[in-house]
Parts: sequence; C-alpha cells; structure tokens
Amino acid sequence: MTGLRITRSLVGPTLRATRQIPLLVGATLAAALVVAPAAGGTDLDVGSWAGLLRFAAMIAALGVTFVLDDPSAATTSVLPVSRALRYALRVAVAVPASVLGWLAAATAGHQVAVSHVSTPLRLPALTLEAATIFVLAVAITVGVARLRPDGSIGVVAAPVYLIVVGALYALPGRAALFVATTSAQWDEVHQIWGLLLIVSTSAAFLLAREPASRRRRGHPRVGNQTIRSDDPRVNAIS
Amino acid sequence: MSAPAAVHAPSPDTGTATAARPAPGRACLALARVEAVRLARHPAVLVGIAAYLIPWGYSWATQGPAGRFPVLQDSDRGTQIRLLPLALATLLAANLATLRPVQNGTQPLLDVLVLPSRHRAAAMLAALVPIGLIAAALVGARIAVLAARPGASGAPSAFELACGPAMVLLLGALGVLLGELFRSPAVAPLASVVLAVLILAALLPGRLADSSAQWLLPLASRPDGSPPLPAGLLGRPAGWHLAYLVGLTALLVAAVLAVSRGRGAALGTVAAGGLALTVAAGVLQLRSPSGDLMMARSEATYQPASRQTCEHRGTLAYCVFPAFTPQIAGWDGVVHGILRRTPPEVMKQPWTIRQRVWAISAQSGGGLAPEVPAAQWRADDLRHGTPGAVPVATNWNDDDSVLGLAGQLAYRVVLGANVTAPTGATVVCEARGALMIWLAGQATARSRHGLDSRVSGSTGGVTIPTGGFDSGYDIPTRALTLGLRMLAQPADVIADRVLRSWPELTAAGTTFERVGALLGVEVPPADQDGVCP
Amino acid sequence: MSQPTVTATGLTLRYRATVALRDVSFSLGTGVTGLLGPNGAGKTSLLRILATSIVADHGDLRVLGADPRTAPGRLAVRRRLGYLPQNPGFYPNFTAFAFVDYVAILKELTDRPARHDEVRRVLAAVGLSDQRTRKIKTLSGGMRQRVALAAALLGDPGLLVLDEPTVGLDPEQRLRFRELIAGLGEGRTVLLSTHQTEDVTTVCQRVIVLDAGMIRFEGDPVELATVARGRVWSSPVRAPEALVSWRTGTGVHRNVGHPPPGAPLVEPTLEDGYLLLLDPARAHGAGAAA
Repeated sequence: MTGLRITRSLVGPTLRATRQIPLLVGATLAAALVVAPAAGGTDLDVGSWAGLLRFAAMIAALGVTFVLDDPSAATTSVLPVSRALRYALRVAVAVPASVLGWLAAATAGHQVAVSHVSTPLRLPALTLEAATIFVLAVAITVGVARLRPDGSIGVVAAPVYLIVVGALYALPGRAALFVATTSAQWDEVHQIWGLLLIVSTSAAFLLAREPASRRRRGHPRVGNQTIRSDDPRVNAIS
Repeated sequence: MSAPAAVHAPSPDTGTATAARPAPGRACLALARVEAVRLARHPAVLVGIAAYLIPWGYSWATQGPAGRFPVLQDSDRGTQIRLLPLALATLLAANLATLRPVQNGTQPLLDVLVLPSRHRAAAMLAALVPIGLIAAALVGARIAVLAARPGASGAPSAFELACGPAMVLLLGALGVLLGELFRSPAVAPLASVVLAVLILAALLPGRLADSSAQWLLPLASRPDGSPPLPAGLLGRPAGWHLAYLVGLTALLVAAVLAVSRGRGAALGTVAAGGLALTVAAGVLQLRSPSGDLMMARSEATYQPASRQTCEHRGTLAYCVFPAFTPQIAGWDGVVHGILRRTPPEVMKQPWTIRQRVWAISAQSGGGLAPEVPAAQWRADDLRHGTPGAVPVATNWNDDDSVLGLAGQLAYRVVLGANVTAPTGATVVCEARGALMIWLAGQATARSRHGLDSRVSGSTGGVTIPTGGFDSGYDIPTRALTLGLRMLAQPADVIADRVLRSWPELTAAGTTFERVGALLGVEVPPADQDGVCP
Repeated sequence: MSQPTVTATGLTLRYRATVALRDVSFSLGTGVTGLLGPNGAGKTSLLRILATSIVADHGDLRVLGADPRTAPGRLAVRRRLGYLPQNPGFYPNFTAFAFVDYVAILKELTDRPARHDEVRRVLAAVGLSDQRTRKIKTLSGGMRQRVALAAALLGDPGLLVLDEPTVGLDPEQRLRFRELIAGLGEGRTVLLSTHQTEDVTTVCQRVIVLDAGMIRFEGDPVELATVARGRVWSSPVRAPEALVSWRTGTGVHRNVGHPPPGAPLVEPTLEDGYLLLLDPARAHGAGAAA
C-alpha cells in the first residue's frame, strides 16, 4: 500500500516539522496543575479536583492549535499527498504529549480522590470532556488553516480556541456543560459532551478536506483584449 | 556642536522642518494612538467586550423583577470577574501587536528607524490606556445602571470598581512584556490560559479561595452568592489590592522599557516605586481583619438590632442595616401577601421584619453558617422590644430570599408570634406545614418561584431557608404535597376556607385527613421516609 | 506543436471587489514561456491556479490532460507538477537534503533508496550537492531559492511553474538560474513569471504579457519587440509625445510612443514592446521609475 508507506515515511519528517514547544509546555503545565497541588497535599473537595482536571484538559489542548503551523505551506499545499493526511499526521504528533499530560493529571487526581475524598471523581466522564476539548481544538485549528493559506495558523487558532472554550465554560444555568460532579444532570450533560465529540470529530474531518472550488458567481463579460503576434491590431495600438 | 541654532537665519520652511522631525515624545504619542485604535479593534478585544456585555444582557433579559434590588457594595466587585475576558484579550492583543514586527519580518526595517525601540515599547504601553478607559467605562456603565434601579441599596467602593480596569492594564502590560521577551506567538495564549486557570481555580471552593493568598492574584472577588454584608463589615482590602495591581503594572512597565533598551533615572524610579508599592501593598492586603472589625461582625451576626434602623408602617416594623432601606419596598408585598390571608387578630399583631446576616467566617463575607443563633437573636429582640422578629436576608435580588421571608413569616403566623426562630433541626411534621407552604407560596409571584426552585432542586420534602443562612425548617413530603395541592386550587377559594377554619388548621394535632376535608383538597398518602413518626 | 500541456479558456478570478484575472485564455506547450507583467497584474494568481493552489471562479482549464477543478484531476496534476512559489517557506532547522526529502515524500516517492537518489539528483541539478547537509537557516537567499527549485524539480515534472524565481538573486546567481531554467525547458513545459524583461529575452521561447488581469500579448519574444517597431525614437530631451521616456547612459533620451514626423527611429527591444502594451498611466509610472 502506497498510502501506508507514505504515512510511514512521513512520520519522522512531520515530527521534526511540527511545532513541539507549545505542545510540550501545554502538556507539562496541564500535568503540573493537578500534580503539584496533589503532591503538596492540598485539601480540596472533589468538585475542585474536577475543576482542576478540566482546566488541565483545556491547557493541554491549547498546544494542539499550533501543530498545523507550516512555514512552507505554499510548497506543501500543492503536493499530491492530501491535506487530510498531512494534518492527521501533525495532529497525531500532538496526541502522545497531550495524552501523557492528561494521564499524569488524571492519575494524580485519582490518587487524591481515592485517599481523601468520599464522593467519586467520575474520571471516565471527565476524560470524555478532555477528549472533546482536544478534538474541538483540532477542529478549530483545521478550520483556521483553511482561512490562512500562508501557514501561520496557531496565532489565530489559539485565541479562537480560548474564546470558544471560555464561552463553553461560561454557559449559564440549564445550558451549562461544565456541571458539578454532584449535579443531577451529570449523565444528561455527558450525553451532550459525547454528541459534541462526534460533531467536533466530523467537523475536523470535513474541514481537513481539500478546499472545494469557490462558489460560482455571475460571469463578468469583459472584452478580450489579447493581442496575438499575428494580429493586425498590433501596429494600431496607441 | 558649538554653533547655536539661532545664528542661522530662519528659513521659510522652518515650520515644516519642525513638523517633519517631531520630538520623540510626540512621535511616541502618535504611534500610541495608532496602536490603541488597532488594539481596540482587535477581534480578541471585541470578543472580550462582548463577553462583558452578553452575560449582562442575558441576565437583564432573564432576571425579571429580581433585578430591581441590586446591592451596590456587592455589585462593585462583581464587575471584576466580568472584565477577566477583556483583560485576557488585552494580553493576547497587546502581545500580538508587540510581536507584529517579528511575525511580519519588519524587525530589521524597524531597527534602523528613527524612533528607538524603547519608544515603540512605550507607545505600545501607552496604547493600553484607552483599553483601560474602555474597561472603566464598562464598569461605570454597569454600576450606573444598577444604581439607577429603584431598589438599589448600598454604595459601591471606588477601589473595587477601579480594580477591574487596573487588571486590564496589568495583563495588557504583561502581554507587551511577553512579546518583548519571547518571539513565539504561543507564549501569550499559554500565559493567558494559565492566568485564567489560576484565577478560576482560586474561585473553586477550597483552601485557596478561603485563604488570603488569593489577593496575590490579579483578581480576588469570589462570586460566592452569599448574601451581601453591610459595607462597614466587608473588610476587603480593595484599596491595598488596587495599589498592589498598580505597583505590579509599574514593575511590568519598567521591565518592558528595560528589555527594550530603555535607560535613565526615570526608569529606575518607576522600577523602585513599583517594587516598593507591590511589596508594601501586597503585604498589607494580606493582614487579617482587625479586632474591631471582628467585633462588629460578631455583633451584626448575633445582636444586629442596635446596628439597625427600623421603619414603622402601621403595626409593622421593618428593620434594616444602614443603606438597605430600599429593600423594604420589596418586603412589604410579601408581608401583606401573607397577612391578608390571616384572621384580624393575627394581622394586627406588631410584626417586626429584621435583616439577618452571617458575617463571621470568610473575608469576603461568604461562607454559610451551619446554625441559626436562635437564642442570641431572641435575647437581642427581647432587649429591643421586637420579640419574634422575622428574619430576612440582605439579598432581595434572589427569589430564595423572598421565599425565606415568606416562609419565616408563615411559620410565625401559624405557630404564634413568640415562637423561637426555627433552627436546622426543626421539622414541621403536622398538617400545619401544608398551611405554611400555602401561605408562603401564594404571597407573591417571586415567593412562589422561589418555592418551585427549592422543590425542583430537592427530593422528598423541602427546606424553608432562614434569611441569610443555609439552614431553616423542614417540611416533609406529605405536608409539602398537600401544600402544593392547595396552591394548585384557586387562591381565593382556599383563602376563604382557611380563614373560616383558621383555629383548627393552626392547632397542633389536626390530622391531614381533617385538613383535607376542611379545605376540599385530596390528601396525599402517608410519608414512607420515616422523618415524622 | 504537439498536444498543449496547459489550455486555459476564459479564466476569471476575483478577490472580493478586486478582479485579479479577467477572461484569460492561453495555451502552453513544451519550452519556457515567460509570464511578464507589472506588480499586481495577476501573475501570481494565474500561477497559483495552474499549480492547483486556488481555483478560478470561471473558465475551463486543462493541465497535463487533467481538470484541476475535480479532486482526481487535481491529484493527477499535482503528481506531475513542480511549483516554486513566490515566497517558498522553509523549516529553518531542516538541512537542505531533509527538506527536499520531506517534499519528496509528500510527492509520493516512497521507495527510500530511490527517493534519496532523486533528492541527490535534483540538489545536484541546482548545484547544491556540497551544501546538502547544511541547515537551511545557514544558507544564503540564493541558495534557499535553489533549494526550493530543487524541491520543484522532484520527480521530473511535466509542468514547472516558477513564480519570480530570479527575484533577490545577484547577477551571477541570476545567470546561473537562467541557464538552469533554459535547460529545464527542453522536453518539458515551464511557465516562468517575472517582471524582468531580460529573463524573457534570455530563456523564453514564448511570452505572455499580463496587465490588470488581462492578457495583452501572447507570442514570440521577438514579435513582442516588433510591437514597438516605428514607435521608439531618440531625442536630446524628453519628448512630449512619448508615453514613456527615459535618459540613457549616453545622455540621449529614449522615447516610446507616437514619434513626431522625422524623429530618428531606433530599433525596438522587447522591453519597448512591453512598455507600450501596458496601461499608459502605469507605463508612465514605470518610465519615470526607470
């Protein structure tokens, strides 16, 4: 399979061509946000640990908004290997760091919750939230990449991501997505999270496709003023 | 240069020559103006402004009559967290503006232009001032709109109001500094998310939120939803916190200028002043509340009568902490809504409504009291000749407080004016509970709304809150259900029957079946939860 | 002429209110074709359409026998296309070899030894064999340009689209680049955009003049010069009849426009023809700048 061989050959160069530092810093900060207070024995209730884990997920996903940055986009965008594959590889580069960051944070949170807190931390559902936030960041970045063919994407995608996540975090009352672990709506809200994950994934895939041809509009009738060298008008130009 | 300029004959184009070579300060100002316009029109900043306005508009559209009773010494600090998105947006936008030469590759060109880099940095910092003014205008607009409400009580603190715009300036300066220090556009988003997380994490319930260390963050206003304290009891070091923010901003300004090759005594002064202010104000804001303040808080909690003024309306007395008088207009409807359903001998009693507040625990006045100090209240009320005063919370903008007043008045109307304030352990097991539910629920639309939210948020029975306190008295399921069935009937029909059978309905030992028969309401089956024998 | 490599009919492209290309029709066969035009004429837009980077709003286009508006057609074009963008970006920390190798993988050259041979071949073709292990950030502007050209040459493309490849090169580099491009035109179609008339006279077999989104001329470079036959004259001072006039090194003014009767006519060059074809207002600007 050519596709498989291309993918395999691309892994190394893609790894080196992708911006790693925001990713690593994001994952590290995310892990530290939970690991540090957990190791320091900070006395928090289960809602606070859940809140810290959610913030960790948001920070870890921020780094992914920079992975599609490509200074040579002008060259790479017209090569046969599809945009979807190039993007998928770059996102795949982001996955291990983000997953490790989340695992570290989740493990620390779990340890504390098991030993100190009576109510459950509900880690599977929080992991669903984290995965959704990650995929949402990917979808936003891929969408911004369509609008910025010059390849400097993160500089716009990161603020857009922050705004979107901030808006989700601020959703009031019944519309709230980040509900307390003790909330009666927990299961209901996590069905919405699941739905959001599916929507974000589909959006990321759709947006990663090659841009289709632009919308067709009214055909401007402009006189053809081309002059062929054998045109008798050649000598009549003023 | 030995030849003085005056030796040269003034040429006709002196004016244009001066205009072509303005002083660096004026060039700096001109640049600042351009950058300020770009900042103010930056999408992130526009989103930040929208993030301030949209929740405001949302609550304005959905709040209804509750919005008529803001407490200004509470609302002032509420503007701070509302400005957090704008502050973070300013960080991002100022950082991008600082990075623009690097991102667009114009750095080599700018490096050889007349205006030195420190002036460009200074212009960037100066461009933040209009954003700060926009923030101040947003704060001013909100507090002005709130103060114009007919039920607005209290007075805002200028320091609290200034803290939000100061935070916007501080984070903007941080964005400029990060841009001068790091060339990556990823730094500012990371910094802003970390800051946001620290600030929001400090608002999560836990040790950090209760400790004074939260004052070291740019934003220290926990929107805990607990009833507001009288302004004199708040004890928030808002003035020191503002000085701390200003000091930090000065430090950042000095750092920006130092990084962009600024020199001179002025820079040293700014740095030293900023450092001194930051350290001094930073330490002073962390002091624990003074003994006098603790005394005053304790008195307001346990013996509030001497700190309150009372307004008499007929046989009724409404007692409030200073500056809370506008809330009385709200109470009146509830009190009359209940008393009109009672026999004349109950209606004519000298009812006193008294504000209650829990001022003991947290610095911000937050924290919900575990126990109603019923005994102290009783003694205090007896001393001031208002036995059986009905407690009411200080936040009349909350339907739960309305239910609290209605429920507490209903409790005393049914059980007699001299009954002790109910505590957390009080359960009204008899059919009289249904009457209390009916009285409280039918008083006003807001008390009904408060009851409905309480009922939908709980399983089994319902707790009627004591003003300002988390505890109250419990109505078990059967009485609650009967009360709700009474509320479902036409109010005037039920009211007639209630008045006719008042003595029997309020007597101890009247069975549910008897009440059902008297009122013509179907009686729910007996409780299975075992709360009442 | 054999089957043309590129056939364009009525290409039109707009960016919001600006019309970048108006009803552009032409065809390209083997050999080097110069695309000449002032800044903002629409050259880069046209090249990006040919390179499948953007799609025209209107018009038909066949590139290498495929229709780049459809997904399979676009893929077919990309497999046989070499494109040197106007501002090729680089990964500064890659070596020249690693960068070209990365592009080679993206060009679906999967067999590792064969791919490395091909990378070495194209680097040699642009004269960078000795520099291939150097990081791109340490290379000069001309060398980077050659790295980008090497990437465009991968896989022996049937169509080479070069967007202002000689900009920013010193005279010697420019000569070498022209030589390289002239050689590339043998048996393959090369479209070279430039605003340097010398690029065209030295390497192109055909020339297309694009101005304000419209094709003003399409044909032989020699014939472009003949457009100005009888329209170029010399005079001791700037002639008022001239559309474009500039002072030459000998102190005599060279004028292009409507010569007055009896004016000493001069043999026209390709540049004269080009200037005459441009929009008069803009041509004046160009003349003043020259």
